[in-house]
Formats: sequence, structure tokens, C-alpha cells
Amino acid sequence: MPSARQGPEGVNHLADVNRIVHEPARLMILLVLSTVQEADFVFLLNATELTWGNLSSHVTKLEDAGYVEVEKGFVGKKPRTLARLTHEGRQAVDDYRRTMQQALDAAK
Amino acid sequence: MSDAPKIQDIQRRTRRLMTYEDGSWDLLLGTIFFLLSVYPITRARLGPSWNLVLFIGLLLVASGVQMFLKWKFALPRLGYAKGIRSPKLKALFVVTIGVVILTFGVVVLTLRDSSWLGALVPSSGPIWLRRFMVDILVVPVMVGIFSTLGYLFGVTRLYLYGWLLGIGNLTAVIIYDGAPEGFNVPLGLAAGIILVFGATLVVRFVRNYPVRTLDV
Repeated sequence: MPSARQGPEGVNHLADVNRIVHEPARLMILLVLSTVQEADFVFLLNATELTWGNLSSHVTKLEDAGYVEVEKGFVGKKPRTLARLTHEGRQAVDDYRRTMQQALDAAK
Repeated sequence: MSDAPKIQDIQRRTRRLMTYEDGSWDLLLGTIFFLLSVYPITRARLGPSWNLVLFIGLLLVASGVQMFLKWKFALPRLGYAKGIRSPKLKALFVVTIGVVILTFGVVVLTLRDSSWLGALVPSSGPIWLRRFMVDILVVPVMVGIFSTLGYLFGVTRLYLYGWLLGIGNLTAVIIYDGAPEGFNVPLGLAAGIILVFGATLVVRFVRNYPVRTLDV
């Protein structure tokens, strides 16, 4: 009988899951950004239904991890901040999706 | 502890927010089919060619108004997002546009002159099939297009729209067969239902999405 530390292959991958991506609010931000080329913070607020403080804090963490790039600019006289996934960010989302799928398949 | 977000649901919601949340698409669709429902009346007055010009002109105006409303009204509330162009989505977009153009072309040809239909069905086929073939085919095409969009974007009402418009058109053709041309009630009713959906969505959109000004 397998020990508590050993499980079916695939489920063990959960231990290696990217914890930056795995946090629900950050995962939502990454998934929204994976569906678009770029989006401003107003759109991200509406799509994720996070509070402004939460969104800002999580985007900063994702930016520090190199998964999101933030561009501040203006549309006319109004400031607009755009966010987009980096290549590493898209890779991280794909890897996360694959890891979770393997774990779910192994658990069946 | 919050529930883990479902990946596909989040992506569908994002696509839905970009296109279907503000109700403008529904208002445009309802307007197009309402114009089609008054088409017989204007055709009787203007003749087929000028009526077609009028229809296309009004279509362009309605599309322009929808784009303006989206930019002026929806964008400040919803925010800006630029869609991604994955190869899969591009292919789907091309196929959808192709089917829409084909359907529109058939509709316009038929509205202009329906005599070309007779050549498509063998003379040995049942009379009702020869008479209503195109309109019968329109039903699965409409249901197919709208159901595909409904699935991709997670918008349930689109499934209803496909049936409303397909069955509405077929019903109209059957009940008005041989009758003098006038307002197309079934299609007008379908368009009216869609317009009501659109108006309701606009009201809900204004309530749920106040204008945000973030100084970031």
C-alpha cells in the first residue's frame, strides 16, 4: 500500500504547483489576461470582481514574478494602465493548467 | 475559503464581458431583424433594388451607432480589453463570417428575386419542399450559428435567438405564402423580443457597471 507521501503519479505534481499562480485571485487575473492581448485595470476589476486594493497588490506580485507587464499611459487626458501577460506568464498558466489536469486525471 | 475558479468559466466570462455584456449587440441584432420585418412594406413602395440600397444603408447606420455607443457608453464603464487572436479563434471567426455572408447573400438574393430557388429542388420533390426549402435550411443555420456563439461565449440567450429567428422566418414564409406583402409579424415579434432583451441588458449594465475613473 503506498505511503501517505506517495500517491499516484500526477497527484505528486501538486507539491510542485506554482504557488504564485495557484492563489485564486492571481489565477483569475492570469486567466483573464490569457484570454486577451491586453486589458486596462478597469476591465480587470470588472472581470475579476476583486477590490481595487486586492487587484493592485496581486498584479504587483505577478509583475515582480515576471508574469505580467504593466504599461502606464494616457488616453487623451485620462490616465490608463494596461496589463498584459509576458511570455513567461503564458508559459506559467499553461504549465499550471497541465499540472492540475495531470493531478485530476491521476485522482480518477 | 473561496472556491477555486473554473478556468473555462473565467475565460468565457472574459469574452462575454468584451462583447455581450452591455446589450448593444442585442439591440443591433434586434434592429436588423426588425428592418427585415418591414422589408416587404418598403419593397412594395421602392421596388427591389432601391429597397436593398435602403436596407444596406440603414444597416450601416445601425452598425455605426452601435460602435459609437460601445466606445462612448460601454468603454468607460467596462474598461478596455483587446481580444487575443489565437489560430483557433481566427479560423472560427473566418468560418462564422463565411456562413453569415452566405446566409445574408441567400436572404438578399431571395428578397430581390425568389425565382432562382425553383432550380435547386428536383421537380419530382414535394411541392412544400420546393416552396420553403431555403427557409427550412435557414432554421438549422441560424440555430447552428447562434448556438456556437452561445457556447463559446457562455451566453445562454443566444441559443434562444437562433430558434426565434429561424422559426420566426419559416413561420412568416408559411403564413404569408401567396398573401399580400405587409409587416412580417413573426419576424417582427422575434426582433421585438431580442430588442427587449437588449434594452433590459442596457439597464442592468448601467446599474452594475458605474463609470470608474482610476488614477493609477
